[in-house]
Amino acid sequence: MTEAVQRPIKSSEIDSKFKYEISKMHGGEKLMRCFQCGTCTSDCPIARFSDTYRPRQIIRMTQLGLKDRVLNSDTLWLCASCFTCTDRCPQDVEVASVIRVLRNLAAERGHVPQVFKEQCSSILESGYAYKIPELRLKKRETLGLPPLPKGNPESLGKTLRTVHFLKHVEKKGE
Amino acid sequence: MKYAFFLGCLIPAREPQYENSVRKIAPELDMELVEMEGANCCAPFSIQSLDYMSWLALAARNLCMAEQMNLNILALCNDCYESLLATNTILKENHEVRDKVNDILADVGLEFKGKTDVKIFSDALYEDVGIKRVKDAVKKPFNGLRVAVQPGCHLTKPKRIHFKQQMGVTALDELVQATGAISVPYERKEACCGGPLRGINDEVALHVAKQKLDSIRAAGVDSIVTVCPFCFLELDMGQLEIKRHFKTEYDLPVLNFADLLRMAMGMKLENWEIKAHRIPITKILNMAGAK
Ligand code: SF4
Ligand code: SF4
Repeated sequence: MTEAVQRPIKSSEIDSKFKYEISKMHGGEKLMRCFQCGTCTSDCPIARFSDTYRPRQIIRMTQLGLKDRVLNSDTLWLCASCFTCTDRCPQDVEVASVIRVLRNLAAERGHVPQVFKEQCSSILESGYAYKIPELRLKKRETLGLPPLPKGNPESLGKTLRTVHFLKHVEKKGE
Repeated sequence: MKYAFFLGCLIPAREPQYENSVRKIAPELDMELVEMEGANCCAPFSIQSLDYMSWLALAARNLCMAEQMNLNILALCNDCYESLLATNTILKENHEVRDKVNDILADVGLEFKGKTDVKIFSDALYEDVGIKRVKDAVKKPFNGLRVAVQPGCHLTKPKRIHFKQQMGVTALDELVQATGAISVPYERKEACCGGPLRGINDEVALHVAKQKLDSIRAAGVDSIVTVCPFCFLELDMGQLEIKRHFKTEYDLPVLNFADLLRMAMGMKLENWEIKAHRIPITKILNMAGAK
C-alpha cells in the first residue's frame, strides 16, 4: 500500500460517496469522527512489523473515497483483529469494525485470502472453521474423551444458503 | 451451575488436553457441562470479515440453541467467546439487526430472544464459582511459581462488549494467584500473540510472537499461562519456529490455565497431555509434585 499511496491520486479515482456508504453499515458509523491522531497505528502490533499496514491510513483513504485502492489492497487483510485500536482511539472510531466493514466489501469483489476460503469450505463440510482430523475423532475414546456432539448439517446448510456465505466457499478444482 | 458447553473446533483439533482438564475440574467445582447437540462454528473474525449477516446468523444459531436449553453458554476459546459475546450484545441492543437475523433463522425454526449469557471458562470460574471456592479446591499449590499471564486479546477487548472487566486487571490473574502461583506483570501483557496472522503473513506473525516472548522473558518467569488455544499454539509451537528463524531460544513452558488448576487441585496430567507441549513442562510438573 505504501506504493499505492506514493502514486499521485487522480480525481477520477475518488468516489465521494464511499464514506457515506461505509458510515451506513453496522460498524462503520463512526468513520467520519477520525481526526488522524495516529494512536491506532502507533499501538497496532502489526504496523510495528509490517512496512505497509497502517490503520490510520486505511481510515483516511476511506474518508477520502479511494475506494478501489482500499478494497483491492492485500494490506486490508493484515489486521489481526486484536481490538487495541478500537479500545484506544480517542474518537471512538471502532477502527477494527471499520476494517471488518471494508473487508466485507472487498470480499464482495472476490478478494478473500485463501485461508479464509478454506475455512468457509470447512464450515460447509464439517460445521466448523477448522476441520477436526478423522484420526483425532477416533482417538478421543482412547484418550478418555466423550464423542463430540453431533452437528446439524441440514439445518446449517439452510442457514448458509440464506446469507452471502456460499459465494466465499472455494470451488473445488478452481 | 449448569452450562451449555460450547467446545468449538480448535480445542478438540489441536489442544484436547485443555478440554480434558475442564471436564475433570468442572464436577469438582459443581459446574455441570451439558453438550450442545447441533452446535456449529462460532464464526471467528475470519468469517466476520467476509459477510456480516453470515457471521451473525452462524453465531446466533448457537445462542438460540443455548436459549432453548435454558442455559448460559460456556466457551473455552477466546475467539468463540468474542464472536458469541459480540453477537449476543449486538442482537440484544439492535432490534433492527435482530429482526433480520430472526428472519434468516425462522427457516430452521430458531429465534433469538436474548435470554442467554456467554461466559468464558475463566470468567465462569471467577463469577459463578468464586475465587474462594477455587482456592479451597487447591490441594497442591504452586507456591512461588512465577507466571506470565497471557490473557489473549479477545478475553478483554474490545472494552465495549467486556464492560464488566477492567483493562489489565483480569479475573485470570486472580485465578492464577489462587493456585499459589505469582502473576508477574510484564510490558506487552495486553499485546497480540501474532496467531491471527497465520496463513496471511507468517513472517509478521513470528515477529509479533517474538516481541511478546522477549517481554515475557525480561520479566523472569517460569511459565506462560493462557486460556486461549490460539495463544497456546502460537507461543508454544511458535518458540520452535522462532528458534529456527531468529536463532533465539526461550525455553518457556506454556500451559493452559485449566491444566495448571487441575494439577493444583491434585489431579495429574496424562502422558499424552504432557507430550502435547512442544516446550517441555517438566519444571512445572516437578513443582506440582505431580510427576
Ligand atoms: S486513533 Fe482514532 S482518531 Fe486517531 S487516527 Fe486512529 S481512527 Fe483516527
Ligand atoms: S485491531 Fe487490527 S488495526 Fe487495530 S490494532 Fe489490532 S491489528 Fe492493528
